[in-house]
Amino acid sequence: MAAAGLAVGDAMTRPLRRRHLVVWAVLAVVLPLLFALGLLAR
Amino acid sequence: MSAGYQAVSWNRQKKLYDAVLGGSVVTYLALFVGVSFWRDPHATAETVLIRAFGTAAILLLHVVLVIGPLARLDPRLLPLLYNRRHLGVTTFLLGLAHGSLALFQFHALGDVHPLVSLLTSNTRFSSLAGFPFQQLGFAAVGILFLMAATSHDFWLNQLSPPVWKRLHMGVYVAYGLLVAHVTLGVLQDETHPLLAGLLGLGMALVLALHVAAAIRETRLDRPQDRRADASGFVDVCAADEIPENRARIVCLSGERVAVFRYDGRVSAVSNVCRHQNGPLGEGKIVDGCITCPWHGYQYLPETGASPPPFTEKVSTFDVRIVGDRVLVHPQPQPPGTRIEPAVLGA
Repeated sequence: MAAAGLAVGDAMTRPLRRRHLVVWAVLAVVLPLLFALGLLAR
Repeated sequence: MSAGYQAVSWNRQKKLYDAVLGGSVVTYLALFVGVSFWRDPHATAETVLIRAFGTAAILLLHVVLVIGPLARLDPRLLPLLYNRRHLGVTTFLLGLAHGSLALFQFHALGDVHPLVSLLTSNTRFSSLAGFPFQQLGFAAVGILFLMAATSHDFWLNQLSPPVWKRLHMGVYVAYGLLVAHVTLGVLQDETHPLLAGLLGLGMALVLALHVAAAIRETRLDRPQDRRADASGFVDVCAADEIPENRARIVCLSGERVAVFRYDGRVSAVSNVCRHQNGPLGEGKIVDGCITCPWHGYQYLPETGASPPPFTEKVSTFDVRIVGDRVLVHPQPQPPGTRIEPAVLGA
């Protein structure tokens, strides 16, 4: 279906929603870790 | 929805939104400067302004970042999304003011160009406590500049929605860089727990809301057990499960379709608005047109085309009513294809 017509110009399709989930899952691990390391380094 | 170039299509909502935004920013800056000089009358104006602009920028960036997931989790907050790009541009301007003043104060008095000094004066990349945090802020402002410069619909049309959307996902990178900029910068010297606590709280809020919204969206995308009849039509719901002038969003063949009920008829279109890919199925029918909840773009339900003189089109789907059930064929028709609405009770 995506190839049949919805894909053209559709950014908020399932692949992009998945990408959002992956990006925020990575940030949810990396940012608190960086924050904690930064505070420990003081 | 635009028939031609307009710098900004001002309306009452946009003016109100911007008035609240401008008033809030000016009030915050005035309060920050006033309280700073009250607490430390010997502080220099440059230092106070650098901190005022910097904290305003990161505070506003948090606001920008929580609006998206909040609107996904609670549609009553959708009006906040309406003019969000003005918040983004304001964030960039505040960050630029912060960075320019810092560049002037810390890098303009030497014998090398201030930008060269910024990029070369500290290269202790292996040290957390002495990390060149200013370069992180510089990179973040660069990303915010790209986003602010391309925020107008002109660039959305020129770049195409997928490219524009990918470019504007750079805000996540900018946010990560700014968290690192603050953590490895000011938090290394300011040991009062208030500042670290506020940043930690803001970060936790942004991350939790985004992950929660993303998980909710993923659940909506899970394949549902829908059986197709001999002609390929899929039973999606009972007709009375769709509120009048509203839609039910169903996931067919891996993508979302908005099934609208209006005036005793049912039509189905792609759930994705052509403007910024807003969820059409979360909008309603206004003056006979499906109206996107994000920015008000409109489409006729039977054709998926915007009413003249506008030219946007979305895909349409064949719909049948059998008894009290609504059946939709999962194969999309080319955008703008007229499909006769299924008539209820016919």
